[in-house]
Amino acid sequence: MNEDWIKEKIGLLKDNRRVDDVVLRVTTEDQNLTRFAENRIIQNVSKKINDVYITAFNEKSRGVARTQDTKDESLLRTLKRAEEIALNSPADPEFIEPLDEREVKGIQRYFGRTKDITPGEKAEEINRIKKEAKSRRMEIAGQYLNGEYFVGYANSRGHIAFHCYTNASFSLTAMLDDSSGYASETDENIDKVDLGRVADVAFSKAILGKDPVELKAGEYVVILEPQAVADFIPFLAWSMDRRASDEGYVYFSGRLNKRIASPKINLYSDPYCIDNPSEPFVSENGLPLEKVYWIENGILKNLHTSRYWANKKNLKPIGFPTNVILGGGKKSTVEIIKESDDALLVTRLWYIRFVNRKDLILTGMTRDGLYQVKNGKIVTSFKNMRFNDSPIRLLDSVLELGLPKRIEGYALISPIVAQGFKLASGTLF
Amino acid sequence: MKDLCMEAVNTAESLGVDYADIRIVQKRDQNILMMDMSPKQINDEETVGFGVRVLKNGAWGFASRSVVNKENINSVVREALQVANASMRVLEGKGVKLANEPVHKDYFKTPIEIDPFDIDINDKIQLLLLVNRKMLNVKHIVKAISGISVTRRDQFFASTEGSLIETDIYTVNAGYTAVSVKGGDSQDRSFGDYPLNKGWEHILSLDLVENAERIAEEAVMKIDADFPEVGKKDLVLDPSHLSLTIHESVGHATELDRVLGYEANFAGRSFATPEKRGKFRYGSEKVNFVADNTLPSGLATTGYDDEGVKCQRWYIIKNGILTDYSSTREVSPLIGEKRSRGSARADGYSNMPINRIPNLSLMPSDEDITPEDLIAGVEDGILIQGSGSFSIDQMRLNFQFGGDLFFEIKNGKKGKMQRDVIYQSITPEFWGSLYAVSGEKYWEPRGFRTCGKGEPMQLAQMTNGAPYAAFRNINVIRGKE
Repeated sequence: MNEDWIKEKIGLLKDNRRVDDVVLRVTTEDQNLTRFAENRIIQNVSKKINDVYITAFNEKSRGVARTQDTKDESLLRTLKRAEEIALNSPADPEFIEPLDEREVKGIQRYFGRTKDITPGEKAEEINRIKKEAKSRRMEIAGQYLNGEYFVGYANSRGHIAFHCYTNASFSLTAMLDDSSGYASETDENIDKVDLGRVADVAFSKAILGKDPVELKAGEYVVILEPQAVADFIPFLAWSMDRRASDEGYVYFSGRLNKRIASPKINLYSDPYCIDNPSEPFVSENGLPLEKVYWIENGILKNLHTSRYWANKKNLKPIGFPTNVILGGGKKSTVEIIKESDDALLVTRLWYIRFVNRKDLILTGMTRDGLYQVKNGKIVTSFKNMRFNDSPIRLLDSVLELGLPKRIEGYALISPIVAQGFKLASGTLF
Repeated sequence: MKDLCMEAVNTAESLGVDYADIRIVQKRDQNILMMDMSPKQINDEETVGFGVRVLKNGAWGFASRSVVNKENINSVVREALQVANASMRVLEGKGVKLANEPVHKDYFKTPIEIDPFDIDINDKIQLLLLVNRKMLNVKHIVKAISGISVTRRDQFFASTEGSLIETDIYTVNAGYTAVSVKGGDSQDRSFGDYPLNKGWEHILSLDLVENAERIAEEAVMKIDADFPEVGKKDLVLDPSHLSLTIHESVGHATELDRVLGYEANFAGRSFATPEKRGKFRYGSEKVNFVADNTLPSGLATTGYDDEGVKCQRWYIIKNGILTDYSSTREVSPLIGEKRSRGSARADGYSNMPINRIPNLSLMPSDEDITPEDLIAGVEDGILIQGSGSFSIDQMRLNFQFGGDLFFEIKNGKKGKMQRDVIYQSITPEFWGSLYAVSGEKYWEPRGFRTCGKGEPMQLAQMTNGAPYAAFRNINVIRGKE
């Protein structure tokens, strides 16, 4: 499916509707996932999936039906189901009409080679890394994913939005008896994903992690690698809702246009960022997304605002972001380590959850590499620790930001050096 | 559908595979989400598709499509074989050898009294509007969120070994949350979302409307409640709370694929390694965990798992000792077992089944011990109800849990409400500190529909039942600075 398909099918639905308006939302994925562990491929999965959601709008009511069959008769049957729901549902007091005519499309980030690499080619590359790992007496686990994706939105008023892209990602955990190391890379262009580079980092982290010792609970200066920062940033983004803020039950209540973080912090979203592109619209309602600063020079500048709340409060609607960017400096993590006198280096965080939503306190564990840096060198590895801390407090105590790195296809994130990271308890490995 | 299944099996056999199976899955979901008095989601979703799994020379291949027809089935079988041929290039030893399973030709359907799809969608909406109205009528409630979800999953499974199984599974749940704001502070309180494989009769039994005002009032009371004293406390945990602690610290820890390292890159591994089996003291003598995928109305009670293994009942921990694991046909032979425990589950047709937590429950006492008896045995402790914050390390050792409602216990008596209670422990130490459980009358089959595992994440559902249980000297901290 593509732009032409969605334009044709919204016409079909528009011509056959019994209700005021109709919306067609489509996603397609054509991908291969290769998962490996215990030094062999444990899953090798190819899938081609179409997903279609049709929303019927009748006066102030709405109904949604879904199908995965894209034939015309199936689309019309699904339209009928959506209409039946809308016609039998009560009026929504927060009803908002579909957007008027406009075309929104993302930047071109489609690479044929990313889609076309075969499971066989991928297996050969994994085999090379496996041999390297075995020569180091390591076990490896990881995944290598590639595919093409399409996301589209169209309504009967002529509003259409779509985004087509490819993606490749490779991640690797290298394991020794008492240590592990992790690294990953992702990009729309598979040629930018360097499996050898990923393996080198994961191998070296596992070696540096040998013979870990216990660390006391306490507050520490930390170097959080981009992956560790990206692991907690979504919890910040989820809380940045204007309505929840106005209604008083999230951290950001009453803090708009006030300083909440270090002046060094610039956190923003931009679906048109060439280094970190994403869907340029809200998939549910087609609302275009633009570059928006959430935190600018430490000041809370914006919160995502639904179309209903914006209309009620006379505000500009700001869609939930599809990517996040933490602007940084020019030093790589390696250079930051070299210039550090005394800090903990955190590779990755795991199982992060809210402890207290109102205060935005999170908990989680370090994973796959917690080290002590002394006088520019990694000198010790530690058993993993649990943290209980606020990402806002961390961003307010930032000493330095480094060179941003692409993480998991949605984040472009700097490593940060921050003071007072609160480590609460240790584990046994 | 059965003819299409046989088409896949015949094609796979003609291609010379060692083993193949196909799952054709038809699914219908109705999801309604109400925020205050606004229906934010009224969805009626139908999906259908199929996935084919092929084993050749010890290597797996899997392919799937969302359009089910003979032509696609034949091409997908060939594609799965091509993928298996690719997997062969990264083989260790002789590769995968499946545990034996008898051939089954069977049909299993969830016993239901009232088909949840026969209930008009507007009736479901009106029920949630009534619940939300009752919550919003309570002073200081700023947000009322409620939802109903009903699902039917009709799966046809066939394998080259000759099994042909249809499983027709119904799952329903409903729940809600009230958010309070007072004096610049905020709390929330939820009515136990309580999924089961049952019909609409389960929703009727929940007394959703009758409890709404109480839940909202408790959300407000939480703001004015005292914070706990930090330090070692005895805990009495109710079934609505304990189910998640069981899920994270026992359920995931005893998934055999995780134990063997299959999930090392993301979902993690486990400390409960095979050499500990039969010897390791996981908990006190009072700790008995039974996996039971035949449990009436259990979320994993599906007759057969997603590789055609019949559902079973077995001990995972007996009298505190680690005795067994959940397993699949692939991993069970790796610890010398001849048969899988039937714990392979896939998220829809487009994912390969992986080892999932079964219906896993902490067993009650044979004696008629009441929750009040447990409270009476505590000098300085806390009663915890419902789910809150939860986190555990990737080896399933260090964990930290909150809850939804807390009461001080002093000198054997339930006292004032508390707030923001968090406890931390290490899995075997925690279960080692369990000293009493209530009787069967107080056991409840709580569970989860959105258990995440795999990479990218797959969702699965299972029941984790529990009685009330009492623990000594657990580290308690405050969840608010």
